[in-house]
Amino acid sequence: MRKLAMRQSIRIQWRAFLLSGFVAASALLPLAGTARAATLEVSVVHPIASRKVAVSAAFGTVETSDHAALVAPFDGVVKSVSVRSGHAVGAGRVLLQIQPLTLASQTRAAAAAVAAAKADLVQKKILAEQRLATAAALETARAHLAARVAALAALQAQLRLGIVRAPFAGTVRDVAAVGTRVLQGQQLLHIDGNGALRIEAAFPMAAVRGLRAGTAMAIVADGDSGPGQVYSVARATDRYGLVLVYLTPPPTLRLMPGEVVQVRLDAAAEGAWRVPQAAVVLRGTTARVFIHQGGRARALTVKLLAVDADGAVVLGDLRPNSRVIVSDVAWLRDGTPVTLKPAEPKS
Amino acid sequence: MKRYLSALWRNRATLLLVVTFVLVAGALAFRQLPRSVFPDVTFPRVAVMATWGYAPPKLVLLQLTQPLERAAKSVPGVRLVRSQTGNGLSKLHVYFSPGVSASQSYVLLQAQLASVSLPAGAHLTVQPMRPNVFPFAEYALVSNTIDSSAMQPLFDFKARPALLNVPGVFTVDGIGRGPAQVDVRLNPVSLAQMHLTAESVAQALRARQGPYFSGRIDAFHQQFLLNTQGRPQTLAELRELPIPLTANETRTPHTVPLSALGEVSEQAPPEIRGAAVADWKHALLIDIAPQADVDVTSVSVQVHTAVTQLRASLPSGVQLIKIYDFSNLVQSSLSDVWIALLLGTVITLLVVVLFLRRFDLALATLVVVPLSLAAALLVLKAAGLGLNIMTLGGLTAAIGALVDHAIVVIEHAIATDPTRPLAERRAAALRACADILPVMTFATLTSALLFLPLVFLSGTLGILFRQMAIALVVALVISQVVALTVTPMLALWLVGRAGSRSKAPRFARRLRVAYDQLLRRALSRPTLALPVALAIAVFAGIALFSLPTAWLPAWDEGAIAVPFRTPLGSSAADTIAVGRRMLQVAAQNPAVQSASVRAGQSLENPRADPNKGDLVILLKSHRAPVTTVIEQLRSSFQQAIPDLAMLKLHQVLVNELGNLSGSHAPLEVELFGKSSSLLALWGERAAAALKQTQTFSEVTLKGGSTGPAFEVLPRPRAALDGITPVNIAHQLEEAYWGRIVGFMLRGEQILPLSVSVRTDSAAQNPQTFAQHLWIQDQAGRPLPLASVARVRFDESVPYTDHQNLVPYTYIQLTPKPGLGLNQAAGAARHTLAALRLPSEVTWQIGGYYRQQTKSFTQMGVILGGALVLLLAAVGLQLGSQRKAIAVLLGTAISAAGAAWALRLLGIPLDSTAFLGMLLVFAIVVNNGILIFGMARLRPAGSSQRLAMKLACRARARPILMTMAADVLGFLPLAYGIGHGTDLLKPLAVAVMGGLCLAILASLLLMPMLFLLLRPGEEQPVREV
Repeated sequence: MRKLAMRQSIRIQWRAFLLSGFVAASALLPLAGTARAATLEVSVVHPIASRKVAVSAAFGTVETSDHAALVAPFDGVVKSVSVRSGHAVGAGRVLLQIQPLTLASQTRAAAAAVAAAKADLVQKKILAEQRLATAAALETARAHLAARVAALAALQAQLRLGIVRAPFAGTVRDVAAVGTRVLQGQQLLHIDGNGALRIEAAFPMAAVRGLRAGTAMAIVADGDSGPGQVYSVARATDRYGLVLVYLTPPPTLRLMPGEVVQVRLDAAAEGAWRVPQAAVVLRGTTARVFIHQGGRARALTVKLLAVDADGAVVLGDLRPNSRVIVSDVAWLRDGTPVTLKPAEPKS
Repeated sequence: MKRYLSALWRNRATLLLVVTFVLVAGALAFRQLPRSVFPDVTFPRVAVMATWGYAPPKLVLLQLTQPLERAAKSVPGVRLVRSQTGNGLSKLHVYFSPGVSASQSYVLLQAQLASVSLPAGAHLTVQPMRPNVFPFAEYALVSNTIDSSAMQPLFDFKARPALLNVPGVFTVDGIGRGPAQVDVRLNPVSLAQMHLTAESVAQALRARQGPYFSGRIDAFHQQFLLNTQGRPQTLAELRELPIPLTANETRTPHTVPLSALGEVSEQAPPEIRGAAVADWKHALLIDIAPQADVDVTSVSVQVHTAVTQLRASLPSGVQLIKIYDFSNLVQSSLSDVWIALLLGTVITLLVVVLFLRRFDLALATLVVVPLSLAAALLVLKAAGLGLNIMTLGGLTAAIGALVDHAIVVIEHAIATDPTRPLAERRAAALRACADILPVMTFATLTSALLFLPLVFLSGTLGILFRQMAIALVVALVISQVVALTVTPMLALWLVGRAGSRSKAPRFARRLRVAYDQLLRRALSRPTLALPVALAIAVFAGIALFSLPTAWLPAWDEGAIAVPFRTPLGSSAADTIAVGRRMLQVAAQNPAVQSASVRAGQSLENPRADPNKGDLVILLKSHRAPVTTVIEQLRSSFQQAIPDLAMLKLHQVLVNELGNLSGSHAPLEVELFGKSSSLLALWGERAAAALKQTQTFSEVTLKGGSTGPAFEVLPRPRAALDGITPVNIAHQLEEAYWGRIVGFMLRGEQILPLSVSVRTDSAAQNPQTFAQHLWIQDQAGRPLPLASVARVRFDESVPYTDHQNLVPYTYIQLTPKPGLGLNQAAGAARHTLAALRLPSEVTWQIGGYYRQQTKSFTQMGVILGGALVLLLAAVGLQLGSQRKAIAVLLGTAISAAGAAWALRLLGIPLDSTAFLGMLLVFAIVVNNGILIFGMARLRPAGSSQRLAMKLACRARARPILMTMAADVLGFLPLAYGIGHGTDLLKPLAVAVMGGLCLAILASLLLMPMLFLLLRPGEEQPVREV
């Protein structure tokens, strides 16, 4: 009887052990099942239709319409400079003087040649008076002298060009320093007249195709910007394929001659959308945005037209009411189930 | 023997003194022994990392990797050289043959590498891989207001010195975005306005460094040092630094201050790496690695003290928090094993009390445990070993044997008639001891001999189990020494104590009668042993072949590493954002305690791709098993971050062990071929096919890539105006990266000086940047990049991996839970065979699997070798090879019990289980030797059968007792105390199963087999 009781008690204990194990296991199970079934929460925005897109930007220099870049007339050394950058000068004012390198000796040689020709003529004259020379020979000597004198005059005129004067009243800038060795054709200084301002900018050839007088461009100077207008496009390119474009600056910008500005060329874009930069994902060179559609993230391949500080302009199958996902895009896949974050979609 | 024992008895007081001394010395040794989870040993592996700025992979391959590889391979003793060539980075792993000493290999390799001439600007680091290169603790400086670059000085000049000052700390690494730099950000419009180029500004800044040594003035018996200082001291001074204008300008002054050209500020460096912890905006992780051979737990305590002191001096807004500390793991693992040891001892005590029914006897038996342990600890200390799971496991495994020895002696000695006078009883006990001790000593030495072949085990396993074997053998031998000295004295003393032997309880008497009957019947029909043995062997074979296999036991350390990769070409900023997301996800799991993440660098390497990240997650102590948590985390990570290029989850220490031995995954398919592009192609196909099999929870094709790249090709006409490729490269670097042109000094802090040019946001559009980025010609005239250069797009440039100088790639596989390595490897083999790879692509299977196969082969050889050793030793001892064969067969049959037990509990067959079987052999062979040894002591003339029968009857009780004590003593290990004993669980289960069967094998099968082998001596039964 005792044995039976003991056996039973063992059996009961065994059951109790099993039961406690079960209870413990069932208490642990909810812990085990905590892998949450919630889908990824994302934020979305609506895209904004964008009619304009910045296609090209270049550096431009502000000049006056009567701007001149004065160049060295011959090879030489800057002998003296009488102005400094920013000086206002009157027309005809001597700006700087260039010491020629070979011209001076050429002139001296020419002067010597004139003297020789003169002496020759005098001699010929005496000989002619003594009838030792023909009249024809005398004429030749005379002509010779005239030619030498003309040559000297030409050289002297050229020498005078070494004194660089202001062609018109204006302001000088970028003045070459004293002692600079200059080659013929090298810039010595710029002078901006008091005429209207204009901007000269060099654009790549592709950017200026279809550009005509009156096209608007944005001018950015010192943080400010305003609309400028093309008034002339050069008909030739330099060796880098850059084309000079001249623009009238907006009067709102207080520009100064010599100032460097940025010129942005906007183009019309049909069907382009502006989205936040955070919405665009690049894989290789393929750009994609994700839109929220039917509880899933759908990947849309887009063409990235432009990027600026305000966002990205893309061309793709978007609608004004598309919900473009702007969070977590870096690790989304096409077809990932997503839900919207409780916040209202901003537009 | 008798004289020796009586002499010992006379000097028992001296013996007591010696015992006390050993106990005290053992206790002292215990306090001083270094503690760690795994044995701290050097693996013959050296990691070589060469960095060379951001040079393209092809150049790095030709100029760095290949010369280094060739040099490394020509070092004597090098077995394997693996390399990876990346962007400005060449990583080599050099594996030496197991016999080569680690320090020697390191020195040899360094000497050889020193002969390689590196390109200018390249930097080489050579590091021997030791377990202590991995951090044991991680802290983090965190803040919501100050970024990690701004916290860097705090780390460099406060935290690091304080932590390095703690004795036992090896390295302290700060992991964040990196130290701040001074950024000179030039405005391109201002540059154009002043006709300046960024290069001219850079030149001006480069000229302002120093101080420069300028000579000495020697005057009037004194020398003055002359220095020229050129470096601006503060940011304000730097802003005022005059930059000369070009000669084309006569405006005075001829210079402009640097601030007129752009902004000067202190900034974080370009984001190529970063770190984060949950709940904080900015984090700088601090990894602390220990010196080799130190007690990590005590270092950890001191580190904690240092951290507490540091906390008091932190500026406001910055905190120093703990992320993880593995020394807790060491502590808890070791205490788990200690508890198991203690529980085992208590259980053994109970078993002895049950059998001997005298508490003083049981207590006397147990006295040997602390004594043997103390002596064993002393030997460990002397041998330079520390306390770790392996040595403690060895001691725990030996507890059974220690008690066995005591039981055998005491049980044998006290079997005298208590009614006789004391002197007679003592004399009888002395005789009994003198009888049993020589046999026993030989038996113990034979057992110890069994573990000898373990010394030849190579690889990681050898390193791990060698220490276990040493601890075990030490404990065994010491327990025998104790049995030869202390135990007989105890027995003699116990005999003198009053205490009648009560009559055995009824069930025991019945059991004895039943055994006698069984034995008589069995010995009269010894041929029955054959079918029984055969049946056991067949069942064991079935169990063995259906067992899943593993390299090391499933072990729950409570820390998970999560290496991941964001899609190719992702920035470090994106990767760190993904990491933060994963931290949030992990924090929602109730099992997770803390976590940290790093990006652009990995746990192993200070430099990695920007799309590479590593999470370290510490789990709470009371939670679901780690495998469950890993699966939960995996699915929640995959759900939260659907587009990950790679995601792996594994335990930290297990992975470190793998890393040290050169395997990174349970299974690796290694593909070899001519070129990396061919390998990339077939690697992808093979990975896709392996994924389709649904056999693996992770399939990762390894092999990095630079990610998408642009190549800028200058046009010939650019050269006309002096725009050279290097000129373009510098200008692009100024626009997109920043050129370091010098340094500023602030106290001890070195601030790199970076010059960059502000670009339009349009220049960030990769589709059109060439039209929007302006390059200056020599005169400062801006030109669009497109007009001076073409731009070519490269989808990605693959990294080149080499194994022994041959290009290779590998696919890492993790089998689904519950699937053994053998089975998974079979599936992988089948899939690859079906794939029909071209003949120039060859493959092989590696990973832990290869380690396992190697270990199993070695273990098989060791088991076989052990059996042969046994045969020789036992044969020598018993003077008969037939007896030896019987003992051996009985022992081998016991191993079947181990296989059954493993199969029954679904525990995979791994190296620890193998070791368990070896332990079974050691114990069972002891039984056999004692039985046959006792049989030899029977009077001459009695038949073999009778002698066997009497010996079996005499040994039945002690064998049953020792087996019960052993089996139950292993119960705490088999059941598992905490997670520290996980590694020993298969061993315990195998031993328990084996010993259960060993009772049958020792008491019935061994004598039957022996009689079967000696049919000629069959004689009529004569009862005594």
